[in-house]
Amino acid sequence: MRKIMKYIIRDVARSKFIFFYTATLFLLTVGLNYLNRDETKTVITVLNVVIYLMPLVNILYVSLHYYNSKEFIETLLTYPVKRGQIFMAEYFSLTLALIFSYILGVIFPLLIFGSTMLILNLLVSGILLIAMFTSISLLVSIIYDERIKGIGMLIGIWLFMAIVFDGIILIMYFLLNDFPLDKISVILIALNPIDLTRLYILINLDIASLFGYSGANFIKFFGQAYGIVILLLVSFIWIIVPTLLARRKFNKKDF
Amino acid sequence: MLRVNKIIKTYGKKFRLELDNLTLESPSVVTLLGPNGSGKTTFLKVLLGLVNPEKGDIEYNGSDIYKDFAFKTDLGYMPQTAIYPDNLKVKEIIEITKSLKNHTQDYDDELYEQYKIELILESKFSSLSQGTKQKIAAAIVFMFRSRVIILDEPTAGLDPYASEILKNKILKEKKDRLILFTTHIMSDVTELSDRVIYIHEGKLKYDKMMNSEFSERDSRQIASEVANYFKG
Repeated sequence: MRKIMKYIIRDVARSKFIFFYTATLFLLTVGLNYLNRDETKTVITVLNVVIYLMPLVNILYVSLHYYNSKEFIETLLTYPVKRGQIFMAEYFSLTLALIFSYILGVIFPLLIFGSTMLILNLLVSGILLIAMFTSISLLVSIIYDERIKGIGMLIGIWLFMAIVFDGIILIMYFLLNDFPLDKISVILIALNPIDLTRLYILINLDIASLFGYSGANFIKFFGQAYGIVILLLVSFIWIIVPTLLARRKFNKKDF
Repeated sequence: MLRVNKIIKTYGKKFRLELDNLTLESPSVVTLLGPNGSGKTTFLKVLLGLVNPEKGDIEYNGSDIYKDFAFKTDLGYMPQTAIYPDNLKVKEIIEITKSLKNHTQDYDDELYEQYKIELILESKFSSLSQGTKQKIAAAIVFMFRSRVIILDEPTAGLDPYASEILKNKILKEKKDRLILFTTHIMSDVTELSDRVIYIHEGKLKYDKMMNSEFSERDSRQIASEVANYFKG
Protein backbone atom coordinates (compact mmCIF):
# COMPACT_ATOMS: atom_id res chain seq x y z
CA MET A 1 0.00 0.00 0.00
CA ARG A 2 2.83 2.38 0.88
CA LYS A 3 4.44 1.84 -2.53
CA ILE A 4 1.25 2.98 -4.28
CA MET A 5 0.70 5.83 -1.83
CA LYS A 6 4.17 7.18 -2.50
CA TYR A 7 3.42 7.68 -6.20
CA ILE A 8 -0.17 8.93 -5.80
CA ILE A 9 1.06 11.56 -3.33
CA ARG A 10 3.82 12.60 -5.76
CA ASP A 11 1.25 12.92 -8.52
CA VAL A 12 -1.15 14.94 -6.35
CA ALA A 13 1.60 17.15 -4.88
CA ARG A 14 2.67 18.17 -8.41
CA SER A 15 -0.85 19.01 -9.57
CA LYS A 16 -1.57 22.65 -10.33
CA PHE A 17 -4.90 22.39 -8.56
CA ILE A 18 -3.34 21.55 -5.18
CA PHE A 19 -0.86 24.41 -5.60
CA PHE A 20 -3.57 26.98 -6.34
CA TYR A 21 -5.86 25.61 -3.64
CA THR A 22 -3.13 25.87 -1.00
CA ALA A 23 -2.15 29.34 -2.20
CA THR A 24 -5.81 30.49 -2.08
CA LEU A 25 -6.25 29.17 1.48
CA PHE A 26 -3.00 30.85 2.50
CA LEU A 27 -3.92 34.25 1.05
CA LEU A 28 -7.43 34.02 2.52
CA THR A 29 -6.12 33.20 6.00
CA VAL A 30 -3.48 35.95 5.88
CA GLY A 31 -6.10 38.43 4.68
CA LEU A 32 -8.52 37.47 7.47
CA ASN A 33 -5.73 37.86 10.01
CA TYR A 34 -5.16 41.43 8.89
CA LEU A 35 -8.88 42.22 8.94
CA ASN A 36 -9.53 40.79 12.43
CA ARG A 37 -7.21 41.86 15.19
CA ASP A 38 -8.86 39.56 17.72
CA GLU A 39 -7.62 35.93 17.65
CA THR A 40 -11.00 34.36 18.43
CA LYS A 41 -12.74 36.39 15.71
CA THR A 42 -10.09 35.33 13.21
CA VAL A 43 -10.53 31.67 14.08
CA ILE A 44 -14.33 31.94 13.78
CA THR A 45 -14.04 33.62 10.37
CA VAL A 46 -11.53 31.01 9.22
CA LEU A 47 -13.88 28.36 10.63
CA ASN A 48 -16.62 29.48 8.26
CA VAL A 49 -14.28 29.09 5.30
CA VAL A 50 -13.11 25.72 6.60
CA ILE A 51 -16.50 24.18 7.26
CA TYR A 52 -18.34 25.43 4.18
CA LEU A 53 -15.78 25.89 1.40
CA MET A 54 -13.33 23.11 2.21
CA PRO A 55 -15.81 20.18 2.03
CA LEU A 56 -16.95 21.36 -1.41
CA VAL A 57 -13.40 21.58 -2.77
CA ASN A 58 -12.61 18.30 -0.99
CA ILE A 59 -15.41 16.29 -2.58
CA LEU A 60 -14.86 17.75 -6.05
CA TYR A 61 -11.12 17.11 -5.99
CA VAL A 62 -11.34 13.57 -4.57
CA SER A 63 -14.10 12.62 -6.97
CA LEU A 64 -12.32 14.03 -10.05
CA HIS A 65 -9.08 12.37 -9.00
CA TYR A 66 -10.83 9.02 -8.66
CA TYR A 67 -12.58 9.28 -12.04
CA ASN A 68 -9.38 10.44 -13.76
CA SER A 69 -7.42 7.58 -12.16
CA LYS A 70 -9.84 4.80 -13.09
CA GLU A 71 -7.75 3.48 -15.99
CA PHE A 72 -4.63 3.60 -13.83
CA ILE A 73 -6.51 1.77 -11.07
CA GLU A 74 -7.52 -0.86 -13.65
CA THR A 75 -3.87 -1.33 -14.57
CA LEU A 76 -2.94 -1.64 -10.88
CA LEU A 77 -5.65 -4.28 -10.45
CA THR A 78 -3.83 -6.50 -12.94
CA TYR A 79 -0.72 -6.44 -10.70
CA PRO A 80 -0.32 -8.83 -7.76
CA VAL A 81 -1.80 -6.31 -5.32
CA LYS A 82 -4.97 -6.75 -3.26
CA ARG A 83 -7.91 -4.56 -4.23
CA GLY A 84 -8.33 -3.34 -0.65
CA GLN A 85 -4.74 -2.08 -0.61
CA ILE A 86 -5.25 -0.09 -3.80
CA PHE A 87 -8.39 1.50 -2.36
CA MET A 88 -6.75 2.36 0.97
CA ALA A 89 -3.72 3.79 -0.85
CA GLU A 90 -6.04 6.09 -2.82
CA TYR A 91 -7.93 7.08 0.35
CA PHE A 92 -4.88 7.82 2.50
CA SER A 93 -2.95 9.56 -0.28
CA LEU A 94 -5.78 11.97 -1.07
CA THR A 95 -6.55 12.59 2.61
CA LEU A 96 -2.89 13.25 3.44
CA ALA A 97 -2.41 15.55 0.44
CA LEU A 98 -5.48 17.61 1.38
CA ILE A 99 -4.44 17.73 5.05
CA PHE A 100 -0.99 18.92 4.03
CA SER A 101 -2.56 21.58 1.84
CA TYR A 102 -4.80 22.66 4.75
CA ILE A 103 -1.87 22.85 7.17
CA LEU A 104 0.19 24.94 4.74
CA GLY A 105 -2.72 27.12 3.69
CA VAL A 106 -4.56 27.68 6.98
CA ILE A 107 -2.70 26.45 10.06
CA PHE A 108 0.77 27.68 9.11
CA PRO A 109 -0.25 31.35 8.53
CA LEU A 110 -2.31 31.34 11.74
CA LEU A 111 0.75 30.11 13.63
CA ILE A 112 2.84 32.89 12.11
CA PHE A 113 0.33 35.35 13.52
CA GLY A 114 0.81 33.86 16.97
CA SER A 115 -2.32 31.82 17.63
CA THR A 116 -1.80 28.75 19.81
CA MET A 117 -4.51 26.69 21.52
CA LEU A 118 -7.28 27.66 19.15
CA ILE A 119 -5.14 26.53 16.24
CA LEU A 120 -4.93 23.02 17.65
CA ASN A 121 -8.74 22.82 17.64
CA LEU A 122 -8.87 24.15 14.11
CA LEU A 123 -6.22 21.63 13.06
CA VAL A 124 -8.08 18.65 14.60
CA SER A 125 -11.44 19.71 13.19
CA GLY A 126 -9.96 20.38 9.73
CA ILE A 127 -8.30 16.96 9.62
CA LEU A 128 -11.54 15.27 10.69
CA LEU A 129 -13.53 17.20 8.11
CA ILE A 130 -11.10 16.28 5.31
CA ALA A 131 -11.09 12.59 6.34
CA MET A 132 -14.92 12.53 6.53
CA PHE A 133 -15.52 14.14 3.15
CA THR A 134 -12.80 12.13 1.41
CA SER A 135 -14.50 8.91 2.51
CA ILE A 136 -17.97 10.16 1.52
CA SER A 137 -16.62 11.33 -1.84
CA LEU A 138 -14.89 8.04 -2.62
CA LEU A 139 -17.97 6.05 -1.63
CA VAL A 140 -20.23 8.04 -3.98
CA SER A 141 -17.66 7.99 -6.81
CA ILE A 142 -17.28 4.23 -6.57
CA ILE A 143 -21.05 3.72 -6.57
CA TYR A 144 -21.61 5.91 -9.66
CA ASP A 145 -19.59 4.91 -12.72
CA GLU A 146 -20.66 8.00 -14.61
CA ARG A 147 -18.67 11.02 -13.52
CA ILE A 148 -21.54 13.49 -14.05
CA LYS A 149 -23.89 11.48 -11.85
CA GLY A 150 -21.24 11.01 -9.15
CA ILE A 151 -20.20 14.66 -9.01
CA GLY A 152 -23.84 15.80 -9.19
CA MET A 153 -24.72 13.57 -6.27
CA LEU A 154 -21.76 14.87 -4.25
CA ILE A 155 -22.65 18.51 -4.88
CA GLY A 156 -26.19 17.64 -3.77
CA ILE A 157 -24.84 16.07 -0.57
CA TRP A 158 -22.69 19.15 0.11
CA LEU A 159 -25.64 21.50 -0.49
CA PHE A 160 -27.77 19.43 1.85
CA MET A 161 -25.19 19.34 4.63
CA ALA A 162 -24.02 22.95 4.30
CA ILE A 163 -27.33 24.73 3.67
CA VAL A 164 -30.52 22.64 3.44
CA PHE A 165 -29.96 20.67 6.65
CA ASP A 166 -30.00 23.79 8.87
CA GLY A 167 -33.06 25.03 7.03
CA ILE A 168 -34.93 21.78 7.66
CA ILE A 169 -34.03 21.92 11.36
CA LEU A 170 -35.22 25.51 11.63
CA ILE A 171 -38.53 24.66 9.94
CA MET A 172 -38.89 21.63 12.19
CA TYR A 173 -38.38 23.72 15.33
CA PHE A 174 -40.81 26.32 14.04
CA LEU A 175 -43.55 23.82 13.21
CA LEU A 176 -43.07 21.52 16.19
CA ASN A 177 -42.19 24.01 18.90
CA ASP A 178 -44.92 22.61 21.15
CA PHE A 179 -43.15 19.26 21.32
CA PRO A 180 -39.98 18.43 23.30
CA LEU A 181 -37.27 18.37 20.65
CA ASP A 182 -34.22 18.43 22.91
CA LYS A 183 -33.15 14.80 22.38
CA ILE A 184 -34.00 14.82 18.69
CA SER A 185 -31.88 17.91 18.13
CA VAL A 186 -28.92 16.16 19.78
CA ILE A 187 -29.29 13.22 17.38
CA LEU A 188 -29.68 15.54 14.39
CA ILE A 189 -26.26 17.08 15.02
CA ALA A 190 -24.68 13.65 14.59
CA LEU A 191 -26.22 13.36 11.13
CA ASN A 192 -24.26 16.24 9.66
CA PRO A 193 -20.42 16.27 9.57
CA ILE A 194 -20.38 20.03 8.96
CA ASP A 195 -22.47 20.69 12.09
CA LEU A 196 -20.25 18.30 14.05
CA THR A 197 -17.13 20.22 13.10
CA ARG A 198 -18.69 23.63 13.70
CA LEU A 199 -19.88 22.61 17.15
CA TYR A 200 -16.53 21.00 18.01
CA ILE A 201 -14.70 24.29 17.46
CA LEU A 202 -17.36 26.43 19.12
CA ILE A 203 -17.37 24.22 22.24
CA ASN A 204 -13.61 24.54 22.43
CA LEU A 205 -13.86 28.30 21.98
CA ASP A 206 -16.66 28.30 24.58
CA ILE A 207 -18.86 30.70 22.58
CA ALA A 208 -22.36 29.79 23.74
CA SER A 209 -24.03 32.50 21.64
CA LEU A 210 -22.99 30.73 18.42
CA PHE A 211 -24.02 27.21 19.49
CA GLY A 212 -27.52 27.51 18.08
CA TYR A 213 -30.51 25.62 19.47
CA SER A 214 -29.14 22.15 18.66
CA GLY A 215 -25.67 22.96 19.94
CA ALA A 216 -27.01 24.41 23.17
CA ASN A 217 -29.10 21.28 23.74
CA PHE A 218 -26.10 19.13 22.94
CA ILE A 219 -24.00 20.86 25.61
CA LYS A 220 -26.88 20.74 28.09
CA PHE A 221 -27.24 17.01 27.44
CA PHE A 222 -23.59 15.92 27.56
CA GLY A 223 -21.70 18.78 29.21
CA GLN A 224 -18.63 20.36 27.65
CA ALA A 225 -16.00 17.64 28.30
CA TYR A 226 -18.24 14.68 27.37
CA GLY A 227 -19.62 16.73 24.50
CA ILE A 228 -16.19 17.01 22.91
CA VAL A 229 -15.56 13.27 23.31
CA ILE A 230 -18.95 12.42 21.77
CA LEU A 231 -18.34 14.79 18.86
CA LEU A 232 -14.95 13.19 18.19
CA LEU A 233 -16.43 9.69 18.39
CA VAL A 234 -19.26 10.51 15.98
CA SER A 235 -16.73 12.12 13.62
CA PHE A 236 -14.70 8.91 13.63
CA ILE A 237 -17.86 6.96 12.79
CA TRP A 238 -18.39 9.35 9.86
CA ILE A 239 -14.85 8.53 8.69
CA ILE A 240 -14.83 4.78 9.29
CA VAL A 241 -18.30 3.73 8.08
CA PRO A 242 -18.21 5.36 4.60
CA THR A 243 -14.59 4.22 4.17
CA LEU A 244 -15.45 0.60 4.96
CA LEU A 245 -18.54 0.73 2.73
CA ALA A 246 -16.46 2.24 -0.10
CA ARG A 247 -13.77 -0.42 0.30
CA ARG A 248 -16.36 -3.18 0.29
CA LYS A 249 -17.95 -1.73 -2.85
CA PHE A 250 -14.50 -1.31 -4.46
CA ASN A 251 -13.57 -4.94 -3.72
CA LYS A 252 -16.66 -6.22 -5.53
CA LYS A 253 -16.79 -3.64 -8.28
CA ASP A 254 -16.71 -4.46 -12.01
CA PHE A 255 -14.26 -2.11 -13.72
CA MET B 1 -2.60 -23.41 -19.13
CA LEU B 2 -5.55 -21.00 -18.89
CA ARG B 3 -8.88 -22.78 -18.73
CA VAL B 4 -12.20 -20.94 -18.91
CA ASN B 5 -15.04 -22.93 -17.34
CA LYS B 6 -18.58 -21.89 -18.26
CA ILE B 7 -18.25 -18.17 -17.70
CA ILE B 8 -21.41 -16.07 -17.63
CA LYS B 9 -21.47 -12.30 -17.23
CA THR B 10 -24.58 -10.22 -17.82
CA TYR B 11 -24.95 -6.45 -18.15
CA GLY B 12 -28.63 -5.71 -17.64
CA LYS B 13 -30.84 -7.10 -20.41
CA LYS B 14 -28.64 -5.82 -23.19
CA PHE B 15 -25.56 -8.01 -23.05
CA ARG B 16 -24.59 -11.47 -21.90
CA LEU B 17 -21.16 -13.04 -22.22
CA GLU B 18 -21.44 -16.81 -22.21
CA LEU B 19 -18.39 -18.94 -22.83
CA ASP B 20 -18.57 -22.66 -22.17
CA ASN B 21 -15.18 -24.27 -22.12
CA LEU B 22 -12.10 -22.69 -23.57
CA THR B 23 -8.48 -23.62 -23.03
CA LEU B 24 -5.64 -21.29 -23.95
CA GLU B 25 -2.39 -23.21 -24.20
CA SER B 26 1.13 -21.94 -23.78
CA PRO B 27 3.20 -21.32 -25.84
CA SER B 28 0.96 -19.70 -28.42
CA VAL B 29 -0.31 -16.41 -29.76
CA VAL B 30 -4.09 -16.25 -29.62
CA THR B 31 -6.03 -13.48 -31.34
CA LEU B 32 -9.40 -12.45 -30.02
CA LEU B 33 -11.58 -11.05 -32.77
CA GLY B 34 -15.07 -9.65 -32.90
CA PRO B 35 -17.01 -6.51 -33.79
CA ASN B 36 -17.37 -3.63 -31.32
CA GLY B 37 -19.63 -4.61 -28.45
CA SER B 38 -19.22 -8.32 -29.13
CA GLY B 39 -17.80 -9.08 -25.68
CA LYS B 40 -14.04 -9.06 -26.34
CA THR B 41 -13.32 -6.41 -23.73
CA THR B 42 -15.62 -8.06 -21.19
CA PHE B 43 -13.85 -11.38 -21.76
CA LEU B 44 -10.45 -9.70 -21.33
CA LYS B 45 -11.67 -7.97 -18.16
CA VAL B 46 -12.91 -11.28 -16.79
CA LEU B 47 -9.49 -12.80 -17.50
CA LEU B 48 -7.74 -9.83 -15.87
CA GLY B 49 -9.92 -10.01 -12.76
CA LEU B 50 -11.44 -6.57 -13.39
CA VAL B 51 -14.93 -7.98 -13.86
CA ASN B 52 -16.45 -10.64 -11.65
CA PRO B 53 -18.43 -13.27 -13.57
CA GLU B 54 -21.78 -14.39 -12.18
CA LYS B 55 -21.00 -18.01 -12.92
CA GLY B 56 -17.98 -20.07 -13.82
CA ASP B 57 -14.31 -19.78 -13.09
CA ILE B 58 -10.94 -19.51 -14.76
CA GLU B 59 -8.04 -21.77 -13.87
CA TYR B 60 -4.39 -20.94 -14.35
CA ASN B 61 -2.19 -24.02 -14.05
CA GLY B 62 -4.99 -25.67 -12.07
CA SER B 63 -5.60 -22.79 -9.61
CA ASP B 64 -8.60 -20.45 -9.60
CA ILE B 65 -7.30 -17.04 -10.76
CA TYR B 66 -9.73 -15.23 -8.45
CA LYS B 67 -8.36 -16.97 -5.36
CA ASP B 68 -4.69 -17.40 -6.19
CA PHE B 69 -2.24 -14.55 -6.82
CA ALA B 70 0.03 -16.77 -8.95
CA PHE B 71 -1.76 -15.72 -12.13
CA LYS B 72 -1.34 -12.00 -11.49
CA THR B 73 2.32 -12.53 -10.70
CA ASP B 74 2.72 -14.17 -14.11
CA LEU B 75 0.47 -11.70 -15.95
CA GLY B 76 1.43 -8.75 -18.13
CA TYR B 77 -1.28 -6.47 -19.50
CA MET B 78 -1.12 -3.68 -22.03
CA PRO B 79 -4.33 -1.63 -22.21
CA GLN B 80 -5.70 -0.18 -25.42
CA THR B 81 -4.93 3.32 -24.13
CA ALA B 82 -2.04 3.58 -21.72
CA ILE B 83 -3.06 5.84 -18.83
CA TYR B 84 -0.84 6.56 -15.86
CA PRO B 85 -0.94 9.50 -13.42
CA ASP B 86 -0.38 12.70 -15.42
CA ASN B 87 2.17 14.27 -13.12
CA LEU B 88 4.47 11.27 -12.79
CA LYS B 89 7.68 11.07 -14.77
CA VAL B 90 8.27 8.10 -17.07
CA LYS B 91 11.02 6.80 -14.77
CA GLU B 92 8.57 6.87 -11.82
CA ILE B 93 6.00 4.92 -13.82
CA ILE B 94 8.59 2.24 -14.52
CA GLU B 95 9.68 2.33 -10.85
CA ILE B 96 6.14 1.82 -9.50
CA THR B 97 5.58 -1.07 -11.93
CA LYS B 98 8.82 -2.74 -10.90
CA SER B 99 8.10 -2.31 -7.19
CA LEU B 100 4.57 -3.73 -7.46
CA LYS B 101 5.55 -6.67 -9.64
CA ASN B 102 8.11 -7.77 -7.03
CA HIS B 103 10.22 -9.03 -9.89
CA THR B 104 13.57 -10.47 -8.98
CA GLN B 105 14.86 -11.72 -12.30
CA ASP B 106 16.67 -9.72 -14.96
CA TYR B 107 14.43 -7.34 -16.80
CA ASP B 108 13.82 -7.69 -20.50
CA ASP B 109 14.86 -4.24 -21.75
CA GLU B 110 14.68 -4.98 -25.47
CA LEU B 111 11.62 -2.82 -26.23
CA TYR B 112 12.79 -0.24 -23.67
CA GLU B 113 15.98 0.15 -25.71
CA GLN B 114 14.41 -0.11 -29.15
CA TYR B 115 11.83 2.55 -28.31
CA LYS B 116 14.59 4.68 -26.70
CA ILE B 117 12.63 5.09 -23.47
CA GLU B 118 15.78 6.25 -21.65
CA LEU B 119 15.58 9.55 -23.59
CA ILE B 120 12.20 10.41 -22.07
CA LEU B 121 12.69 9.12 -18.52
CA GLU B 122 12.48 12.64 -17.06
CA SER B 123 9.39 13.63 -19.10
CA LYS B 124 6.02 13.97 -17.42
CA PHE B 125 3.55 11.37 -18.66
CA SER B 126 0.99 14.07 -19.56
CA SER B 127 3.48 15.73 -21.92
CA LEU B 128 3.84 12.65 -24.14
CA SER B 129 1.98 11.82 -27.35
CA GLN B 130 -0.47 8.90 -27.35
CA GLY B 131 1.93 6.84 -29.47
CA THR B 132 4.79 7.39 -27.02
CA LYS B 133 2.52 6.43 -24.13
CA GLN B 134 1.73 3.17 -25.95
CA LYS B 135 5.44 2.52 -26.46
CA ILE B 136 5.99 2.87 -22.70
CA ALA B 137 3.12 0.47 -22.01
CA ALA B 138 4.55 -2.03 -24.52
CA ALA B 139 8.05 -1.76 -23.03
CA ILE B 140 6.63 -2.31 -19.53
CA VAL B 141 4.49 -5.31 -20.47
CA PHE B 142 7.46 -7.25 -21.89
CA MET B 143 9.91 -6.07 -19.21
CA PHE B 144 8.90 -8.70 -16.65
CA ARG B 145 9.10 -11.80 -18.88
CA SER B 146 5.51 -12.59 -17.87
CA ARG B 147 4.25 -16.09 -18.70
CA VAL B 148 0.88 -14.72 -19.83
CA ILE B 149 0.68 -11.47 -21.80
CA ILE B 150 -2.60 -9.81 -22.68
CA LEU B 151 -2.55 -6.99 -25.23
CA ASP B 152 -5.65 -4.93 -26.02
CA GLU B 153 -5.28 -3.64 -29.60
CA PRO B 154 -1.52 -3.21 -29.12
CA THR B 155 -0.65 -1.77 -32.53
CA ALA B 156 -3.62 0.61 -32.81
CA GLY B 157 -1.88 3.74 -31.48
CA LEU B 158 1.60 3.02 -32.78
CA ASP B 159 3.34 4.36 -35.89
CA PRO B 160 4.25 1.70 -38.53
CA TYR B 161 7.87 1.47 -37.36
CA ALA B 162 6.98 1.08 -33.67
CA SER B 163 4.24 -1.35 -34.64
CA GLU B 164 6.73 -3.48 -36.57
CA ILE B 165 9.09 -3.55 -33.57
CA LEU B 166 6.27 -4.71 -31.33
CA LYS B 167 5.14 -7.41 -33.77
CA ASN B 168 8.69 -8.73 -34.04
CA LYS B 169 8.84 -8.83 -30.25
CA ILE B 170 5.58 -10.80 -30.08
CA LEU B 171 6.91 -13.32 -32.61
CA LYS B 172 10.17 -13.63 -30.70
CA GLU B 173 8.53 -14.09 -27.30
CA LYS B 174 5.76 -16.44 -28.33
CA LYS B 175 8.07 -19.45 -28.10
CA ASP B 176 7.66 -19.89 -24.37
CA ARG B 177 4.59 -17.94 -23.28
CA LEU B 178 0.91 -17.37 -23.93
CA ILE B 179 0.17 -14.09 -25.70
CA LEU B 180 -3.46 -13.12 -26.12
CA PHE B 181 -4.33 -10.01 -28.08
CA THR B 182 -7.33 -8.28 -29.56
CA THR B 183 -7.21 -6.43 -32.86
CA HIS B 184 -9.25 -5.16 -35.76
CA ILE B 185 -6.26 -5.29 -38.10
CA MET B 186 -6.47 -8.51 -40.10
CA SER B 187 -2.84 -8.40 -41.26
CA ASP B 188 -1.78 -8.60 -37.59
CA VAL B 189 -3.81 -11.79 -37.27
CA THR B 190 -2.10 -13.54 -40.17
CA GLU B 191 1.36 -12.30 -39.18
CA LEU B 192 1.21 -13.19 -35.51
CA SER B 193 -1.49 -15.68 -34.62
CA ASP B 194 -1.33 -19.37 -33.93
CA ARG B 195 -5.00 -19.45 -33.12
CA VAL B 196 -8.00 -17.23 -33.76
CA ILE B 197 -11.02 -16.93 -31.52
CA TYR B 198 -13.98 -15.00 -32.80
CA ILE B 199 -16.63 -13.73 -30.40
CA HIS B 200 -19.97 -12.29 -31.42
CA GLU B 201 -22.86 -11.20 -29.18
CA GLY B 202 -21.07 -12.66 -26.18
CA LYS B 203 -20.68 -16.14 -27.65
CA LEU B 204 -17.77 -18.01 -29.15
CA LYS B 205 -18.42 -18.31 -32.89
CA TYR B 206 -15.12 -19.41 -34.30
CA ASP B 207 -12.06 -21.06 -32.81
CA LYS B 208 -9.39 -22.28 -35.18
CA MET B 209 -5.68 -23.03 -35.15
CA MET B 210 -3.72 -21.20 -37.83
CA ASN B 211 -0.81 -22.59 -39.78
CA SER B 212 1.13 -21.47 -42.80
CA GLU B 213 -1.04 -23.49 -45.13
CA PHE B 214 -4.33 -22.09 -43.93
CA SER B 215 -3.50 -18.74 -42.43
CA GLU B 216 -4.11 -16.58 -45.50
CA ARG B 217 -7.34 -18.30 -46.47
CA ASP B 218 -8.66 -18.24 -42.92
CA SER B 219 -7.91 -14.57 -42.42
CA ARG B 220 -9.96 -13.74 -45.54
CA GLN B 221 -12.72 -15.98 -44.28
CA ILE B 222 -12.74 -14.25 -40.88
CA ALA B 223 -12.63 -10.80 -42.48
CA SER B 224 -15.57 -11.65 -44.65
CA GLU B 225 -17.45 -13.08 -41.67
CA VAL B 226 -16.86 -9.87 -39.68
CA ALA B 227 -18.00 -7.81 -42.66
CA ASN B 228 -21.17 -9.88 -42.93
CA TYR B 229 -21.94 -9.32 -39.27
CA PHE B 230 -21.50 -5.58 -39.68
CA LYS B 231 -23.86 -5.59 -42.62
CA GLY B 232 -26.40 -7.16 -40.30
